[in-house]
Amino acid sequence: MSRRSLLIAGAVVPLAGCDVFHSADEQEPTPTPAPPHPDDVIRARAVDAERALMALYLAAAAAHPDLEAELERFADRHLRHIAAIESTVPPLPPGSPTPTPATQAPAATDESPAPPDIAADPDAVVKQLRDAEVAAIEERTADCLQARDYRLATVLASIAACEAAHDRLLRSVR
Amino acid sequence: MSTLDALQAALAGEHACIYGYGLVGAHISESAADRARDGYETHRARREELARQIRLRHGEPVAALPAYVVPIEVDDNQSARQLAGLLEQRLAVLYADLIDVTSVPALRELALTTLIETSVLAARWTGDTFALPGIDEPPAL
Repeated sequence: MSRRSLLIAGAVVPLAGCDVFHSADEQEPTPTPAPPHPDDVIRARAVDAERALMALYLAAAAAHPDLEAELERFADRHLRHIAAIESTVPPLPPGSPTPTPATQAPAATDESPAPPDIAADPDAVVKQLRDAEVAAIEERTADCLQARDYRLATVLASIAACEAAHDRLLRSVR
Repeated sequence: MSTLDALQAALAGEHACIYGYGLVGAHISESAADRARDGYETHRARREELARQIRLRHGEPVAALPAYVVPIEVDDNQSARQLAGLLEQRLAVLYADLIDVTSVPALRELALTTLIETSVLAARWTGDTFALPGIDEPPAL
């Protein structure tokens, strides 16, 4: 590198971050959407998980008619979890632009996922359901501890508690 | 409600559970006697922890009442189980209230863990669960 180019480099580099040589147009930041609120991310994740659990119970109930009545009660409780999570969305301040439901903010997809595979053996189904509940307890526990909003934390704690009770009650389903 | 108020309410609830479990233990069948004893000990341990948390916050832990009005007549195994389930369900509400008001992460974690424990115990005693333990109100009786 020549001495001349070194000088140029030395002159230019410190100025790169300075706006002296930039026109106002170039400085205009490209509008990036504000990142979703961390609680909205938690809500969306939890709603997706509760939907998946509900779908799992309904598929299990359809595949095992002798367990249907009981499993539908579990599915109903997961349905109530979704409503409880959605009830924690704070009201928008007056004059806010187009509201989008927080639970749809980050990633929720409207495409219905493939129905879950259900084991033919009833004991294996119960194991499948218990494994899903245990995984959900861990997720909702972690979400509860991270939530900013106290009411959201309470709802997530209550959901984790119901799922722990489910895990226990599933032992006596068969 | 402040964090201290919620801790005091939870402590008062634990006092009531300790009293109630004494009654449960006297009428429960042999097959569930260990569980009743474990429940009694768990509530006593929590009472100590809550009293410690209250003193840390310069509060004077509420004392147990000399006696409690028991919401159902307990005279056999079935009514003993029913009371134990009800005690756990009502206690869950007090811990949910604590999560509702506290900004202290360690207390949120304590209340979360306890809410899970009480809900599992309630499910074992009653064979059922609320969709939202601690939020769904147990029957007043």
